[in-house]
Amino acid sequence: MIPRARLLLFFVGAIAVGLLAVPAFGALPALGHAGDLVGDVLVPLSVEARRTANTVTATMFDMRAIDTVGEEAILFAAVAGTSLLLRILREEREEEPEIEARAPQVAQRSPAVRLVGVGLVGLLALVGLTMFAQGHLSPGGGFQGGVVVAGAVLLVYLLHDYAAFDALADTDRLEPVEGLAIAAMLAVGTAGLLTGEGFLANVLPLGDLGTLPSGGTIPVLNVLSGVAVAAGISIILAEFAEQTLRVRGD
Amino acid sequence: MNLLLVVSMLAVAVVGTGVVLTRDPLRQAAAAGAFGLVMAVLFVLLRAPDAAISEIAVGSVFIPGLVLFAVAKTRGEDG
Repeated sequence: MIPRARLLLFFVGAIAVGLLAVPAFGALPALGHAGDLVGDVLVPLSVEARRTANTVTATMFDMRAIDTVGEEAILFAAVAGTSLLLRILREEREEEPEIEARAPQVAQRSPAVRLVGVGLVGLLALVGLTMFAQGHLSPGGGFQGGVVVAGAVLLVYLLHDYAAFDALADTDRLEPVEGLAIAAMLAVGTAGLLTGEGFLANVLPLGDLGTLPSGGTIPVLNVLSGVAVAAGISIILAEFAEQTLRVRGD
Repeated sequence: MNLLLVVSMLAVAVVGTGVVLTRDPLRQAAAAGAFGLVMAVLFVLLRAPDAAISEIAVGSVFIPGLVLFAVAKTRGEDG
């Protein structure tokens, strides 16, 4: 399609969408004042029935936990797909990291960067772990904590060197961790089936609102999903880094 | 709908357009990082801190990281 015709089509479409979108936005309830039916039901349900202060986490790991298990399955498939696609083919070979071999003085991060790295990686890992442990009490939760921990792993590469990253994000050790974490989530769900309440029902004692051991299975699922996400994303990063820095075709 | 919210929504629109208009993939990765940050600010202002944390980690750290690895590999230059 010639560029001018494309541009014309875009403008026609944009005007049509605009004419529909403006009244649609106007008809929404005012920001912050939504007398939303779903919110009115979910907040008391999570605070009183489940003793969890963070309604979003309670919804994700209790009321709609089946969706979260589906998302973990998607992550698992994505990691498996990445590992499959980036496997080393017969005509390729793995070598020592090329950049560090070709120009060692360039590849070395400066001492200032490494110093910042030491503090930052530790701090980020701690923030991530806090998010998974306290996901049911303050904003955060399993997925958020997992991505922050995986971010700390990537920072090891950026602020230190590939050898340290490779030793940390070792796919042989991470793959079983990810698999076991997801299997454990399914096992917690099955415990719900065994008590007759349904898959992924909240079967552990509920505790008091605002304390660490509250919410029943919610903190358990939080930690397991965080571990699965952190391991899964680290595997993806390790595969990409290996493919870029080590694998040479012939 | 206060000034802060309007400014952050405009910032998202401007930075988003900027990401699309950046043609070089390497630079686009950096622009995507900035976009993630601005989106996270918007999410916090709309009272969704969980979404903001995920957006910063994924949009500003992983997307540029993976794009940089892919570009380095496909160009054959030093990462």
